[in-house]
Amino acid sequence: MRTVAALLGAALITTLPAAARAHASCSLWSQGRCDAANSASITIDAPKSGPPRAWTFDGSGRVWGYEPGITIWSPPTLGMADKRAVVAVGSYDHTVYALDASSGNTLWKFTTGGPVFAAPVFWEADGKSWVFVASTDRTVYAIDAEQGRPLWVHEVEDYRATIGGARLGAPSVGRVGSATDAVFVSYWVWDGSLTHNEAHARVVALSAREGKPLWRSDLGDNELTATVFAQSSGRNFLLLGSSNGNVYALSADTGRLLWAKTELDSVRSPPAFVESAVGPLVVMASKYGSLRGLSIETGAERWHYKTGDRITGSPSVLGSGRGARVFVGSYDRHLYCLDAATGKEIFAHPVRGGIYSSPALVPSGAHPMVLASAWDNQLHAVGLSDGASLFSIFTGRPIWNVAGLDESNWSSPAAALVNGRWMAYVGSYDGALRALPLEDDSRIVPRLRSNLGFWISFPLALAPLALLARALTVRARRREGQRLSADPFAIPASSVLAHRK
Amino acid sequence: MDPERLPLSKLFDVPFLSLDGTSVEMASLLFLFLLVLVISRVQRHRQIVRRVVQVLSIGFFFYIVYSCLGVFGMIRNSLFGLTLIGSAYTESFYWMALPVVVLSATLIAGPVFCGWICPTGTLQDLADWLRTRMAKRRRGRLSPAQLVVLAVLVSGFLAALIVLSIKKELFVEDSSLHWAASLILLCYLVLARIIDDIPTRKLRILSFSAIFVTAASHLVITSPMHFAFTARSDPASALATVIIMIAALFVARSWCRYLCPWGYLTGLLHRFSRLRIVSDRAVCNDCGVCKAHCAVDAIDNGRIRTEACQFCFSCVDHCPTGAFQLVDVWRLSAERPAAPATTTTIAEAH
Repeated sequence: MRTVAALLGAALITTLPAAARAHASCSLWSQGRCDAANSASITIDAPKSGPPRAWTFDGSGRVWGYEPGITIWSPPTLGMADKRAVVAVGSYDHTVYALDASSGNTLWKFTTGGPVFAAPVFWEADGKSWVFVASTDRTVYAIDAEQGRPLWVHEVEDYRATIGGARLGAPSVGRVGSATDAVFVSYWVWDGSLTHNEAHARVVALSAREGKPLWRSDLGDNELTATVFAQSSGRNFLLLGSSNGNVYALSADTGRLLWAKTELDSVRSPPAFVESAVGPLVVMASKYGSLRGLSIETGAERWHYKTGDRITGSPSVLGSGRGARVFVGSYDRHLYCLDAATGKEIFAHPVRGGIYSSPALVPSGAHPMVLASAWDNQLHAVGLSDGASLFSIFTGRPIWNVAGLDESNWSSPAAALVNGRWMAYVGSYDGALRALPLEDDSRIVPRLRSNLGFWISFPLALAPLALLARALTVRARRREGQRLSADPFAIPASSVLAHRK
Repeated sequence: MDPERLPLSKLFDVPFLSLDGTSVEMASLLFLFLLVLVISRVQRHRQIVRRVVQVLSIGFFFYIVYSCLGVFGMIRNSLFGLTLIGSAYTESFYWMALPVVVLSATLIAGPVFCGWICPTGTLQDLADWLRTRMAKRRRGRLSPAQLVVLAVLVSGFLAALIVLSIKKELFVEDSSLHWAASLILLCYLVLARIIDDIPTRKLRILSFSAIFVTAASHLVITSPMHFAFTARSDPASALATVIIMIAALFVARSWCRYLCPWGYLTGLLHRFSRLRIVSDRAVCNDCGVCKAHCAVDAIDNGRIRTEACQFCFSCVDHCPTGAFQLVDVWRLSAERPAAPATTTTIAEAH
């Protein structure tokens, strides 16, 4: 009996990654986290790009140090352009950078009118690659992925003199009806002037080729997450969350609200879609720390799992049907793996800091793994099947303190199989974008966070201060002939300079 | 839309993006200053009105003026705004506007920000008020036993830092703890009479320089009170704020006296400000009431230390002989090059 159970267990462990392999890695990064499952991993065979290597793109010189701490920092996305593997990333310096995923060389850059916090996405049509960018200048840009030239632009909200900025979610490419390719963009725009103190949250659908508006949907006045386009039973859905605590399901064809599920706290990350064993589900996470499986048709709750603290990243789904799994990181310092059909915990991997990022899945290779960034300044790689810690990589010191944590959606890692080699792309909080080979044993050298700087700087700050104060006092006392020794708050006569008569 | 022909409105729109949401903050702060300028002229129940304004200011700061308006943030913002002159004027204006408002108001109307608006000052006043309720003793006079108790408290604070740091509860990059530890150390040394109050005040220059250098080099620093202005969880900043209040129990407005970089700047500007409180030595009877009511010990023998005065008007309102007056120095200088015969002020020692 024990042998049978062991064999069954072994079979389950070995078949899970195999089953996932067929589903996890998406072929076109057309949504914020690549696909509706938020897998954030893609396979790219790029003849013009060589074998990928580790590189760092330093954007810190272009970014004012503390701004990323109170806002959203664009996650990197990957695609193909002119037979090259391309990494696209938005920046606070108003610019979208396209870099060669193998070498890190800049292919092109495109400057918008505002900081770009949303992930750019890729689309392919007529043999050409497109990049869609949503910038905080309230404008959606369609860019030629090969040349970096704009193809069309669309301003989602009309200009008026007092209008403020906007937060636009990552575009998602899908379909309106059965034939029209469309770009969906959620946005939150506000006017902070005394005369027009108002905010609007809306979703707009634009035709992918021309940028013409197809429909627009109003969703109150709270900040929205990026949209996720999902297809189920022949219907097109658009899924998104709101900081007012709602998860919305819209008809992607008309923009009509199908259902809304109200959560107990704000929803900061887009939900994921999974064809589970109990039917198609929307998996949503919230700052309340809850993870819920909802029917995509009705929004009815199928299961619920509560973590110990807030969740700000998106859940990622591996596989479909039986064996589909949900991965999510929580601020309770755990990376969770749940059964997508029942919500039952499979494993919870502890780390030394709250996990703020959405996971990225690496479903194949020597070590199938899930990647997630945490506030212990590490990128963690955890085994997909058993939650075993594979390695962690120090990704840089934070440039903002703990204060900004729950107000930020920091950059999440992306994974890509580039020319047969798995790579992770991480936008770090120190302004750098890093490409890290995942199957290079020499790379597995975790650097632990140290308090050394703190303990050195404390006496370095306090001791000279006390000594200086003492020296100033001794000098003043000497001048006053010890007059001050009796009363530390006495005012020396030498400070009387101006007697106006 | 043709991508090569962006709408003309973009020319006006894009530069103003950086100003989003700040007009309310700006208007609020300007309103606060105007309010103070007007009502500080009303002599009747002025100290009660000041307390009301202080409470109002805390509400303003908490709910409206929250974006990086800490004492450190304003210096950092000004520097960043300076770097944008020539490339992004409106954004430069945004970053520099609030500090410029504070400094301009100081030049025009004296350091009313410190005495009437600053939330950190208000919290310290609250601690000082609690102290006067708890003990009628004159501050600064502690027995050896009390000093031992205070030493235990200081050690406890440092121990708490160690525990929190080891448990990774604090992000150690948060330098507000350095300032809090410095403050409590200085207060202890002053109370233990190892150092004196007045000479120690020169350390504000050091504090200002440290903030200036770290801001210029883009190092991250966080003010005490930061957690309150931004409504975020920040244990280090919260702990630093508590320490500032505890320090104010023993040395009134100790943060303002020893470490506040803005206090240094406003004190410096107050030397040249239009309005100044001066005393009439002919009327003064040296009763010491003014010194007893001055929270920052800015008065000695009826004379005011300009760089230490925070324009709370306590001396003016409590003087039994009416020896203190608010004087328009600029007008006096224009009308009579020589100052009035009997008024006396104390300028900075160096």
